[in-house]
Amino acid sequence: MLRFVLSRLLSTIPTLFLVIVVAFAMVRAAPGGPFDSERALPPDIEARIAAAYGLDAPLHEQFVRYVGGLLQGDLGPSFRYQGTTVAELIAGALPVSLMVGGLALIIGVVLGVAVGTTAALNQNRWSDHLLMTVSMAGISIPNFVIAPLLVLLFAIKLQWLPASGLRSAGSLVLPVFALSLPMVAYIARLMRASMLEVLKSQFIRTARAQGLHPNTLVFRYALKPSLIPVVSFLGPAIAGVLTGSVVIEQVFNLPGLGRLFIQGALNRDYTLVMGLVILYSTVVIVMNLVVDLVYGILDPRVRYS
Amino acid sequence: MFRSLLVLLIVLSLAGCGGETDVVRDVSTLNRGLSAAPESLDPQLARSVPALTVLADVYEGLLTRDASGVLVAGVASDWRLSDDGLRYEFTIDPAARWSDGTPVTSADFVRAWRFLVDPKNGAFYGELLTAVTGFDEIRRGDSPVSALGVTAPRDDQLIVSLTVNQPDFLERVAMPALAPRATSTGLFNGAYVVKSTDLSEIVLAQNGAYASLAGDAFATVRYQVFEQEQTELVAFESGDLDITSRVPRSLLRDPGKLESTLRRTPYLGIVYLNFNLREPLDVRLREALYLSVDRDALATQIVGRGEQPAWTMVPAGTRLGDTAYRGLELDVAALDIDRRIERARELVANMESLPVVQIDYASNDENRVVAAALQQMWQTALPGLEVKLNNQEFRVVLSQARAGKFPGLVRSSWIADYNDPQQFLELFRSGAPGNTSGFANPMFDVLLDRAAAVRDPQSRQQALNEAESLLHESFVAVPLYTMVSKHLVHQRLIGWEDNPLDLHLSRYLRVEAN
Repeated sequence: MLRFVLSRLLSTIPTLFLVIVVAFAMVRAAPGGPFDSERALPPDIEARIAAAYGLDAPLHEQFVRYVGGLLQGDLGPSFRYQGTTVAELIAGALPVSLMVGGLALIIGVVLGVAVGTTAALNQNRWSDHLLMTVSMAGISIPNFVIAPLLVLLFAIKLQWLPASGLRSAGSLVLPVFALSLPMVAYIARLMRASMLEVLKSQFIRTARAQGLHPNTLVFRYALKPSLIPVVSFLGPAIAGVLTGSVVIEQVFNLPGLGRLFIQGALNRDYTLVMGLVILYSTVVIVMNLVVDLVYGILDPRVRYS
Repeated sequence: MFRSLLVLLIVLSLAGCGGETDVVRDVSTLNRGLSAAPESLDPQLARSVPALTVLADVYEGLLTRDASGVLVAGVASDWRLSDDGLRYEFTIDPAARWSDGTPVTSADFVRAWRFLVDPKNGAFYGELLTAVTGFDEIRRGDSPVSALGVTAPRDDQLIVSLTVNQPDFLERVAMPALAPRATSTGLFNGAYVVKSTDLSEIVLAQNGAYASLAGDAFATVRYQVFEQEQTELVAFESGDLDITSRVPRSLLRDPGKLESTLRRTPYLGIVYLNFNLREPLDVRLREALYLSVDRDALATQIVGRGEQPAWTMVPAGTRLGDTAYRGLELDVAALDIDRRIERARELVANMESLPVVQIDYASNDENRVVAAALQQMWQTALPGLEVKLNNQEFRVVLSQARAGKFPGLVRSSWIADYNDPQQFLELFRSGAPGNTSGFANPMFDVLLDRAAAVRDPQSRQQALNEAESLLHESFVAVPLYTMVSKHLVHQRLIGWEDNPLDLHLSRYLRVEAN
């Protein structure tokens, strides 16, 4: 087990390096630079600023210097916000995305599993149809439609909740709800299908034949293996949700990583974009590893040695 | 395992909650919108409009502005200009204080101005001091910053030597970039101090050391950043904001019940198209394109409300100190559009073939409709002409325009820092950083130099008119319309005065007493 984890972690190094190379090349290939402005600087002054940020060196030298910094845990200074490091920017935005994404994830998993299980146990009855219709709608209606509608209703018309920003617990309600809705819907459908599959399998039939109580049957035996597809879905989903939802953070004006990413790209804040790409890919890699480990817990047939 | 993952998530989420405080909206807080996070709150380094907006609240220069944008005494209680117009002497108000209570001295200004011109600091607004002696030598690297013609013989006396009799020097002095520089960070000399700042919010509190703050001024000013104009509008509608930084086009068309909060006023900004003179279109075609823009339709029907058609690069309402500037008056402005199209057709009649004309512009709502309207107008007016539209992301357009890499025309705009016509004409000086068209005319530069070195409004007027006329005849740009500043301002606020600089210091605003 430990060897498996270690070898998996080691194999992430080339992946991560490749991500850094490609991201670095793409960021630099974009036309326009971080110091472009309608209020243009005289060329000699601009050259001095560029030199101060090391942008005057050949690209490969800049890359070597950047990776050298990374190895020492230094993500570099922001090119846009004077006197601010990328690490500080990320440290400011990460808690916001973690909080909103984490809450949405909890709601998504708990409600999704509950709804999916309920639907599966009532297969083809009206409750099943109702839940699946609602969840189909949840999947099909995108965030950028739901979120403004929620704002219109709860923030402008009813004035129950704040429309934007992050100043009180109340301002979390709408974004978390909007973010978790598609997740609940998606997990519910996955869960229902997989639960139905499991309920038809041999070991459940055997257990039922032994006269086990239906509740014991479902919660003790069927639930764990049914969660496998949900867990595979959760790996990338967790990475996506925890590192910030671009749409939700824009609509609700939340100072999270998604908004930082957009602004970083628009401002050509090279180091900020790179820092976020590295963060995101690291989380994706780690989450995929976690998912693989969870398989081993949920399914006794999977063992790592 | 699954359960512990959940627990972990809950813990993480709660960890994120730490430090968040509930702030209830109250009458002592002014909530203002900003369109972007300031790139810096260092008065000498900032250059974006959002940054300058905040800086005007927390720093004060020798001169400052009243609620209507007029120059008034700031840190300087008095100033005198020598008879030859080459030496200013400012007297620092003995009551002027930094937020820690220490006096603001003339040395703080010397420090600031030296920092500003030091090439290694890369300050955009260093150019404000071009007329101060020693500037050119310092910029070339031939002299140290101490050679700058600004000295502090006494703590309350600041002497500035100029190389020319610069007429708009006092306007420059009121810019945040020329505000004093403290010996340490975290000190402010404006009506407010920065209490906290991050990319989404800047909170200001009253500066206790600031003498002339009215008793009913807001105790706290909160600037919230909204990159999306719709999000800002929603925040205003739901009561979270008192002042928005802009108004979406869609709302201008039909403000509905927000009509009473809508504040629009002519602004010292212009929207225009630059021709690329490095590979110029035929001058006859350039003139034809200039003539056949239906500016009335563009200003009144296409872009919204309040914009004024622009025929020259200097918007109406600019001033030469105390006198209004009379810009170049053109006969074509009086002709109706049909007559102008007729003339445009005559101009291109002798051309063998009409090239494809491309308009480059940065993707946004207003630019898109304006470009589409121009395409329509030009293709109708000049049969056989093909107009191509090329929209790209803001920074792509910007970098290509600066490098002169655009085939036909590029949409540009300019907003003046202070009220002077020369602000707009300097854009076309040979080799100026903002000179997108590549226009280079020594005569034009000489006229600008002449206008920048005389104080007499009559002579300035004449030099600037001549420069305008030269620019116009060269068909370097197609002025389209002058800008209108647009805000939604909550009705509870009083003290808001529309002004052409669109400058509204928080200290002049207050809540109507019930």
